[in-house]
Amino acid sequence: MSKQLLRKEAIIGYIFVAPLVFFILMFVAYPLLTLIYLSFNEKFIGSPEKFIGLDNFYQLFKEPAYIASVRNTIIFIIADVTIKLSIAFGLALILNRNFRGRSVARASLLVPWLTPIVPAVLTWHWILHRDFGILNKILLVAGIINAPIEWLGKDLALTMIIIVHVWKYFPFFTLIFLAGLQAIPTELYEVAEIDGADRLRKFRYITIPYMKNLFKTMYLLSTVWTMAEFVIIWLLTRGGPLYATHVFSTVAYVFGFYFYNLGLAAAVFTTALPVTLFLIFLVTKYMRGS
Amino acid sequence: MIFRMKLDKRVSRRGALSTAAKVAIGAGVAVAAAGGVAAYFATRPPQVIEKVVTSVVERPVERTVVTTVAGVPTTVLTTVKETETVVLSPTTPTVKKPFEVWWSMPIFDKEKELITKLSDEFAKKHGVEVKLTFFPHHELDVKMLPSLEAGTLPDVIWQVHQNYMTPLFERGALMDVSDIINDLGRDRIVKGVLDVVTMKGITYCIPHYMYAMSYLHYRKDLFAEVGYTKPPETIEEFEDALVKIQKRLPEKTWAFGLSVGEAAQYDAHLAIEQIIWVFGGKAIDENQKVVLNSPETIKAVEWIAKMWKLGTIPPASASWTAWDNNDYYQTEKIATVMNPTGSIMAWCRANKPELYKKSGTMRWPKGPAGKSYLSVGQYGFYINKATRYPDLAKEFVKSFYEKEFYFELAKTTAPYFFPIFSDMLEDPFYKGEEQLWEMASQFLDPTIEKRTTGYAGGYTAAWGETLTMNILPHMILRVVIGDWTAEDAVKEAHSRMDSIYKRYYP
Repeated sequence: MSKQLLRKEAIIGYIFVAPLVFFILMFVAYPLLTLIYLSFNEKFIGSPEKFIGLDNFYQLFKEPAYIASVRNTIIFIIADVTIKLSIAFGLALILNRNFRGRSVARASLLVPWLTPIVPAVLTWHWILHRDFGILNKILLVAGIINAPIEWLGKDLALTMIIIVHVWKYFPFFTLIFLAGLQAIPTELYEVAEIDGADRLRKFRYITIPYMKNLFKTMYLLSTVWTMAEFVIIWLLTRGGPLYATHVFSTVAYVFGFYFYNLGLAAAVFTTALPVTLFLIFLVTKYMRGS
Repeated sequence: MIFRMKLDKRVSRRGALSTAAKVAIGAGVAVAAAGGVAAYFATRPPQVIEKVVTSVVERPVERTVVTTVAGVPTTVLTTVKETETVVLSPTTPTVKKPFEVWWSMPIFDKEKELITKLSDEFAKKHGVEVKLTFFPHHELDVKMLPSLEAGTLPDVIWQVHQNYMTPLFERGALMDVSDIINDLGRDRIVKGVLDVVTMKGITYCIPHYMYAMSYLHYRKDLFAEVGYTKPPETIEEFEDALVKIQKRLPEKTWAFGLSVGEAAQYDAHLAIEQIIWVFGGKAIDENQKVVLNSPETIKAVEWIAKMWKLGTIPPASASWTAWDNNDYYQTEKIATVMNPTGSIMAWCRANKPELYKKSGTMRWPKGPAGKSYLSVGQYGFYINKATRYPDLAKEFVKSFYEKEFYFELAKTTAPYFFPIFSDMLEDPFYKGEEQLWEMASQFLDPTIEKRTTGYAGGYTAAWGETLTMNILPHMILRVVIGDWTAEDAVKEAHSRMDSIYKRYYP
């Protein structure tokens, strides 16, 4: 093929990818670079920025809300993603089997996911309320507890947030796993049965290898999404009490929109950026693999 | 490779190139056209409507009157009842860009109706398009500084949370409204209200609704049962009453409805600040120096911790939201409650008259400082300094103080809010109802010291940041659920405030 032709093809290729490149530069690279740039500047909303080097990071590591948010974010992500995906995978296995009422079960499973988030969280807030909440009422009436429990208090608030978050998002992952399970050729199971494989062996040697990459991808995607969680935490506890439920997003929101300190808010995300980028790299890798 | 194979099969390279070129040219033309249209709209001058509307309004005027006292000509500044005719057009041209007003969502339906109606009438009268938009309170809060940054601030803002407006003032975005205050009658305005909205000698807001930042409502019947037929006058008496009431209350009810958590937003902060004053402490001095860490503040914190340990404060108050203290009082789970605005009494008055009758509002008991304090708050109008219609903005604001309208609005919102004029507060409407008068009379009582939150430094942007960062509630939480000592908690809060104030006042 002549060089001229190759060059023409290359030009066509560039023309076709140009919109995508433009989109990525405009909506991904520019905000990301601005974020990093801001984190090295003193920037209050309504005032010009001033370069201050690492001062924002220095201030951040002295801020008790940020320190608490690092710990909470790690606990929140590990516990939330693990519980959510375990439940989702277990339910997908059940829903993949034939049983009466399977369609109803599949449809009702979607209810938490389809419920608009604000009313859903406000309902949870009411359920978990110490003195007006239905949960304490039931437990007290049933004689399971003697005194009302402070579900949204310092000791339990993060656990409750994890529960509400799992409740809201496990249906989505159940659907994904269900789709994955249904993509496994049934012939494989039939052949295994002929060969005398029991249920456990079929699960171990057919289901798990087939689902492995999907599981890894979902784990990483869920981690990235959970890292960005804001609404549930903000509506339930606003990061309190006493920083007990602050995560990166709530702390950054407080710094940015309560404190007006965009530089400090940007610094919160910049500290999390290496982890996020590494996770995205892994997601991309596993998605390619699957 | 895939691309080439498909290309070979479906279209010729020449065809593909030709199509791509056409698409590129088409896109270029479209972008150029869109850009041209956008540039035209962005750069064209404001369009003056050909019809010139001449609008005449009458307003009270403050005049310098030369009078003779004992035969000596003396200059006396007084407000006379004569009116001045102001022609708003054509000096205020009617332009296509609407006159824009952002308003924090009214609480009552009738209140909203009254505001909308007056705004519509104003628009008709002056031949302008008034774009009045209501926002949920916190939606409006977080719009303020970004709008300033983006240059999209409206002409007039009616705002609830002043702490979101002080940064605008400090950035020079708000108009000095002293002339409007003079027109309304500076001397008629309740003492202390203007202090809330005046910084560096400039008044940047016209207060519209007045309230106390920390009303102390109480159940008269429960206090009477423990021997307090009159409200306690000192903090010792107050504590005694709370402890006695707590002993008589059934399970899951509490004597002292004090918000202490950060989710309660301003309620907790303002309540704690009030208690610090009672004990003789304060957070800031006149020179914007943080003085929180003092024996008086430590005593106040220890007192709150003591009341917590005695079980008089609901444990859930650590995670109360801004409406939880209302809920607890309205459902009779607490015997006293501290709250900014009279929202609780307003609700009881409208929805639970039997509870309203049993309720009262006491003056803040005197502490070691020996004084009773009232933290005055306000919701009001702010005018964008960059407004294209300054005269129109002033007239718009003033129309909301027209006597008949304003009093109707005040009655509609009572006792949530009170009017800012002393003479209106003395109206039989307030005097004739015990609960209303207990609240209204506090503003007129000269024995109560009126203060602004952020005393003695004032409601500055630095104080606004302290408030939004929940520094005082955190200080209390450190002690009551974090097991810190009062000394350590106060020290930490002092240091956090100090880092904020040093940024503003290096």
